[in-house]
Amino acid sequence: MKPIKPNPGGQLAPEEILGRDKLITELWDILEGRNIYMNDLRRIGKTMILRKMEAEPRTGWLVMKRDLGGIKTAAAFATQVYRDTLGKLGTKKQVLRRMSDLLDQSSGAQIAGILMLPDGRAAPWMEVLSRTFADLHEEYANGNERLVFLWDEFPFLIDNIRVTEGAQTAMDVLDVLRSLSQDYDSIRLLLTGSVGIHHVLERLQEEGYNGSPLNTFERKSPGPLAHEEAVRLAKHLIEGAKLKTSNPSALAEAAATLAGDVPFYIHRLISRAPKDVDTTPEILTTLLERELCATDDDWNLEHYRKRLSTYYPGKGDESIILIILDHIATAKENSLPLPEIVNALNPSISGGADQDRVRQLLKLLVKDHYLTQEGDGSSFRLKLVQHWWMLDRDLSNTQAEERA
Amino acid sequence: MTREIFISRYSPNRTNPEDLEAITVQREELLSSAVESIRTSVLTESKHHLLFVGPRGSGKTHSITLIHHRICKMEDLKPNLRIAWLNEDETSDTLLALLLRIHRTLSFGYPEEFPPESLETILDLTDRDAATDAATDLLLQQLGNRTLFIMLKNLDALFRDMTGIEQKRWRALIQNHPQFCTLATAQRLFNGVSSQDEPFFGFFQITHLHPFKVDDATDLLIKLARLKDDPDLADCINSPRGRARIRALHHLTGGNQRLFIILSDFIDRDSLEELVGPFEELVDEQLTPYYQERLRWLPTLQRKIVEFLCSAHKPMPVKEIARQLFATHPTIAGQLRDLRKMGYVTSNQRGRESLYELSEPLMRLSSQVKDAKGRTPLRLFVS
Repeated sequence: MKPIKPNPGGQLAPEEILGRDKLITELWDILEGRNIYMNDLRRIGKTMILRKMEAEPRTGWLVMKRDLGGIKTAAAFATQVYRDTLGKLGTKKQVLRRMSDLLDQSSGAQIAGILMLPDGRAAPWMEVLSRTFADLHEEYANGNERLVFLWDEFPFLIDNIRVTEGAQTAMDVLDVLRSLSQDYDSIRLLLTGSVGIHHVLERLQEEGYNGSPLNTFERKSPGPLAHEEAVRLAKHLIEGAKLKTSNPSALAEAAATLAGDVPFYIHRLISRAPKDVDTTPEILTTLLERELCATDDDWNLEHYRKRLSTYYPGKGDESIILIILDHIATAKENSLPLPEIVNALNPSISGGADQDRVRQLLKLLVKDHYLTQEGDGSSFRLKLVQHWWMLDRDLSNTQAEERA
Repeated sequence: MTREIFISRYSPNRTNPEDLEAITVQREELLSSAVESIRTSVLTESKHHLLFVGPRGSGKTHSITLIHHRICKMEDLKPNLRIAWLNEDETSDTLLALLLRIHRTLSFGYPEEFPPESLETILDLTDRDAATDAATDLLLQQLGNRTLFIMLKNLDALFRDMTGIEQKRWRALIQNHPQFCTLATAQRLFNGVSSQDEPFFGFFQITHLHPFKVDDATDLLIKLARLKDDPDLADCINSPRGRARIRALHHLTGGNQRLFIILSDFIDRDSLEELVGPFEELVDEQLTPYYQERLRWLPTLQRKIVEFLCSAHKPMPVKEIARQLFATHPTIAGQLRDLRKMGYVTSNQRGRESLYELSEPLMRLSSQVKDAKGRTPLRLFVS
């Protein structure tokens, strides 16, 4: 087994990105026919998935990956797309006929990261995007290769543009991209973001936006690794961290379980395990609980509690959600069906709980990645968050037994 | 007869690294792991970003100086590695300012590869975004396929000065061009790296530098005695009186590495006066003005809280602080939260209760030394 040195938060070599092969195959399959919007919690591993796709593209695909989080304007975005295209096509750049016509003698001169026209005016961003896509389509439509843009931190881009240039420009960018992605079948988009795009769209809707820019996109949430893959990763990391342990398999199992099978948290937990003792699952559990309970920890799972009031501002919603999450956290088998959730809520709400409202809230909790729904039951999406929730809310397994 | 060895108390990077190696205790595991991470970053596509967190005097600069020294000795890394150890006193409030700072540092170390004059055309640009793009392109072009190892102290100050969008630009640069690795320090954990709402959340591999235990402090003094070839210090450490003094001073200093290095000059003095006197003088002259200045910045109630914690000999619960200061529990809890964010206090959980204490034991000590004039509690304690 090849040791992997734990590297929580850093950039992993493609061969160190384990456990995502099945998902990546699925993403390539989807890209054959549709664009993708991939959204999930922070640190779930979206960027590393893109990194692996870029490093090991499926045969017949040309990949252009870019983190867009630092771009502030629509013009800078369009220019970046053009620059990436030029950079990737290299000697083929003579094929960018439409863009060459637009720029003519200015030879792609840029000021402040924005393409300039021969007359000294900034090239209109819509033109730059449209012509670049059209040129690319012309190049790839009849060939054996297709092209995919992997754009990371897409919601940040849209929000940056909203803040810098106003909501209308942000809406225009969304609409133009929607239109281009439909017009040019040889070009695919895979967008990701750690901020829920629906929250960015909500801000735009407050300013009058009524488009559905991503409704043709397939939605994917990578989620944690499959448990056996998480255990496999943990074994590599235990080797890489040179932990002393008399039972590496048990320790790997514990690390994966405690970290909720999320690669970042597995890296972090193993990187912080003591190296001078026989590290046991108990030591790992104590370490994690001590860190989760510290007042100035860097896990910041408090975030899941704090953002409830912002995400669910409806009257009484926050207190209902607290009860829902408390009951699911301590439920037998870690999962509760809707009728049982309603029953649990009834004593706390005068006149009883409104089942439709509860169903709606559960849907929102799934959308915001608090919960996952399997069969009839709702359960915490991340076991790590459930663990923290129980510690923070002082819920014990005894309470679970009493309720049962 | 002792030989002259220069151990800088405040700037370990000015000390001969071989001497720092000789007096390193407790941190060997951390140092080797960090060196391995940086080595991996240079030799593979995996890039590590490390952050050491600890209060003043906890050994952050000592540690990164040694890491730098060890990395520089690795001949096989040289072709593919460039190092920029940034001057800690410069301010970077934008990605552009940071890039220029990096370039100037590289120009100093590698003038042929990063000629200083290559910045001239960028400095002529009036548009900041254009200059940022140009500085990025220049750095990447001059760096080629090599890995850039950036070392910087006070990362918290850098994040405080940079707006969210500038941080996003920096993060995007690192993600789009994975040829950077970082070793940074900060005096405390800060929102920029620990809050889920921030661009760099979870980006750095954070290690807290823990205070020395009594055994670590003793090891340090033994190593110092060996390095300085100082038999008097060695005899003192091995004597019952010396060990008692170490225990007492450990309590007073909270296990602060810098303070023990300072104390090594005094700890073997015969009389208590010879031990405590010069030490009090040093604290009074060099530390007290700094801490007085830090206290002066604070609003009245926050200052009172810090003063109270200076006088307390153990971590205190919010309830007791509120009682002592005739304030309400929520008021004190709110002020403590702010003080914690600013790095004045730390807290630990005891059951459902948070206990607060000063982040820097030196602050308490400088306050006690000031208080002690004529009443000698420090002398009494050490004796």
